[in-house]
Amino acid sequence: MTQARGAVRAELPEVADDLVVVDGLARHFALDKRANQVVRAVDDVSFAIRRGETFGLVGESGSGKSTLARLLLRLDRPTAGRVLFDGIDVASLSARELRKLRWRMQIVFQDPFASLNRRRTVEQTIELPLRVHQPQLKSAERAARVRELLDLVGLRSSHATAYPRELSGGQCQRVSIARALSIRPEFVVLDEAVSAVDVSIQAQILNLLRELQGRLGLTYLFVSHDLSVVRYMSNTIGVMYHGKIVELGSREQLFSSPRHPYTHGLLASIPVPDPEVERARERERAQGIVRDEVAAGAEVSGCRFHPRCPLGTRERCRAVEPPLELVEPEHYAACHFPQSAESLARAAAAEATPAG
Amino acid sequence: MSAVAEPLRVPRRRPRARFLTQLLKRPSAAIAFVVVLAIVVGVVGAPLVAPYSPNAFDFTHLFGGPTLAHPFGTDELGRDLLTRVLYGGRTTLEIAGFSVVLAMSGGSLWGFTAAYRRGWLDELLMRVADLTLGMPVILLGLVLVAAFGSSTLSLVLILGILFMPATARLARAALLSELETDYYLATISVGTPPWLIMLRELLPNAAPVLIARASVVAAEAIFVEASLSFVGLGVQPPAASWGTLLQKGYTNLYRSYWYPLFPGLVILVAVLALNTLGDHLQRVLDPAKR
Amino acid sequence: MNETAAPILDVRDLAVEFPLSGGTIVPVRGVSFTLAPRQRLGIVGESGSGKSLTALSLMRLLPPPGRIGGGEVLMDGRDLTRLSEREMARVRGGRMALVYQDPMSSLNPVQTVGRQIVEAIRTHEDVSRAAARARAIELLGEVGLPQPAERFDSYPHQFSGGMRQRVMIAMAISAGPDVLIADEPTTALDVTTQARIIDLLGRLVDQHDMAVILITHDLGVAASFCDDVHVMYAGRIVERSPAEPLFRQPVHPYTEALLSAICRLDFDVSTPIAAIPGQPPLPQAIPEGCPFHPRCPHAFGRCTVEVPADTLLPDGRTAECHLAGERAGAEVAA
Repeated sequence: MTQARGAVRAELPEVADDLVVVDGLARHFALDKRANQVVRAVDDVSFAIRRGETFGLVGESGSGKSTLARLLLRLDRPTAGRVLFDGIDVASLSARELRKLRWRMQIVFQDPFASLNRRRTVEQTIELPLRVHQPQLKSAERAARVRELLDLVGLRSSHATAYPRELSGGQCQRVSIARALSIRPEFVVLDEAVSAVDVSIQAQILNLLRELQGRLGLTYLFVSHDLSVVRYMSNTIGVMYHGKIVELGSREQLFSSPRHPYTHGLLASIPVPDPEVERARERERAQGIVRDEVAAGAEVSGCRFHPRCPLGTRERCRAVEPPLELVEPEHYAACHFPQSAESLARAAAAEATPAG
Repeated sequence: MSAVAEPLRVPRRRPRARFLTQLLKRPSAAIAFVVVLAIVVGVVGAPLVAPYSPNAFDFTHLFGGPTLAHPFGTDELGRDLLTRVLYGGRTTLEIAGFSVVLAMSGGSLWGFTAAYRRGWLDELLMRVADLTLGMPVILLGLVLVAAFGSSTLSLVLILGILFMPATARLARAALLSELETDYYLATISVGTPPWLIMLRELLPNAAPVLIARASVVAAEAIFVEASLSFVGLGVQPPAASWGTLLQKGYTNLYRSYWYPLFPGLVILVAVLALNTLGDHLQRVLDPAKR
Repeated sequence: MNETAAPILDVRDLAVEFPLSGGTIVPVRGVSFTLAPRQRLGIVGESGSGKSLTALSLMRLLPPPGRIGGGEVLMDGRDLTRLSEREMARVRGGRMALVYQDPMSSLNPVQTVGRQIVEAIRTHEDVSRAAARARAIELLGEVGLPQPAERFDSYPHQFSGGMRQRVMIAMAISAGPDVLIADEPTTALDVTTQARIIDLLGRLVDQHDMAVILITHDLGVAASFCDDVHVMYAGRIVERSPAEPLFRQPVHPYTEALLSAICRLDFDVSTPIAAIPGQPPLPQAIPEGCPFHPRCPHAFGRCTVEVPADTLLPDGRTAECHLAGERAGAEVAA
């Protein structure tokens, strides 16, 4: 495990344009104290986010991506590891210093309604960060800023007096974005920010987020289970599985030459709105690139993906956990047998793994 | 392209002040509200409202039944019972009112501390609450009155403390559910200081449950005070309360069956109305449940 | 669409209404379609389009105070909306079964999955417990549960989400229904699991000669599964089409806009996505005229006043759009 970290650290030099550096981060939750059972929600994760870019974190439910997002903002305490924000170790700060740092980093959550206080109007929600960080502002100035922010996220100033229940999901999500941007942060975590809204609204929000990034020079951590959305938004992408990053690379690398069987499985599973393409892919999936998870939350030895992997019966996969290793420049995969989808399918066929 | 104009859904402002209209829209809530209001006005304004002086003896009308002049009848000294119920209510409501304030403030603090701090303190505070919750309130009340006497102050303290644990549990649950929301995390992540989060964001959301609870505690306090006074351990003569009136009436049941009826009815009506009101208050105050 | 076979389900002018304190709202109106044996029909729409209410009203399982506000649901010549509750109970699960979105809340958490399937079988068929058990194990194997005999006595929480949905499907097909209604069956699942559940559903309906109505918001899921797709908007079916031409040449502007708003895996990342402006309307505030006109790039005067009629196009597709003829013609000519 430490070996993996060493490999990544050596290849990702701490250059000045890294805004966020995550180093060996872990978060374990105790399930049963007496039985000493823990869930490794995040397990020894390292990566860096360059200033002005978007780091995409993709994974299915239970992969630990949301926990990781919260750790980055210090909304939760890590069990081990460090988060450096602009060179500052976030864990070392006092509560007061941390609150001061918070205006530089913000978060937008998945559920547009739950992330707003139902008893606060849109205006009250957006101006809270201003009250906290710029108490010197007069109420007229604050109101002007709120109008400006509403305009920025594509809402009308008449929305200022509305309560969340009077808005649609998409509108609430815009309010959340306005709140996050109100104090002009540098870094915004988007935790499944478009997953709960409809297709037509999702497109609006994605466009808005990209436009705002360009205009305000924001750095994003974009967390999602939807690979096509992550692809559209991100420069660098990490694929998470059961608390670990199993593949890490640039958008081009990850989508044109993926190496980890789990990434192959994800890519083969995304439904494409084209019946012909889908028919071909159904055959592809029938060859069994990825199996279903059988039971929820079971701890596995060796590679954590082996129970679902077409090559998972191999001795080495069941015994030894693969470290995250370089497969090409700046492209990492945690697999003993990293390979392309075609060669994986051939290998799987040759293996002729019995079902189950 | 992304700064897309939203459709013309002009949001209507629904100020919180309108909650009274919301409440009175519900028939049973409206009745309960009027009843509680009438009782409080009558009792507080007793010197202005009451038809007689509380000490106006009339030895020609001992144990009188209800008449137009004396709607609730008269007592063993010929005093007007309506007047006595109104004045007696002052003691009852005073005890109930202060014990509600005590139970709510103490219980909320207790519950909020447990919810906010979690860990061993939560564990300890809630075990203590469970311990007291396991015993009947009346029984505990009797023991405490026997130990500490039955002055108005000690009754207030005893009732207040008795209703704290249940309130604490409720307050804890209310705050915990708020602490689990994304909006709470969002307010932390903008760097809001904890006291501001508590006052501005969390308490207003947890309040409806507690306001509703206060109404129910008031009903229970009236009931327990009456019970204690009825067995002679509550308010002591010459002071009068609804409980002592009921008790006096009961001992004179053979001379006038009217005597205990009206104090008893007033207690019943007050308790019912407060419980009903509490029920509706919670639903009306919480916009999510409306 | 298979025009020759007699339909097993013929829905005519179905409406769903909710009497509320502020007046009655009608979130589904004028919905008509037929379902042929073995047909895989997709009903696609965004949230609030009325697609799930349509499904629930076929089963007469509308959440109160919702009720069928008009129309007929004909199955073998019988109007399901007029059946007594007892007759309807025999149809439900027997002739027509439903797979819900959330398998966890539709399974009883304190009973073993095996027992729940046995119950389902014995409700509709007079068989012995042992026979039902054997059949349940067979069904669990059929839906791809590994070691079905050993897993028979497990509880729902011991399964992953995908496995639970497989159990739900086993239960739904246990009485051999003619029609399977799947209401967002994969929305709560992860992508890898979703793809495999859809593949499984496809295999099962072929083997068991079932017709399927798949309710989904995901055009990709519909494309991978359906023969025919109906697109719903603001409580109406605005376009009906076989799947292939719908995805290649959508006629209704809403379908077109929806298809281009999807963030596709092959999308050019340097350009913005063609988002649909505005929001879908709420059922209590459906615009005059064509419900889509405020968001439609092709809208003109007539669209704001007149609800477009359902236009039958030469190739058998239909669209509720004033421009349907021209748009279809233009597409064909292009």
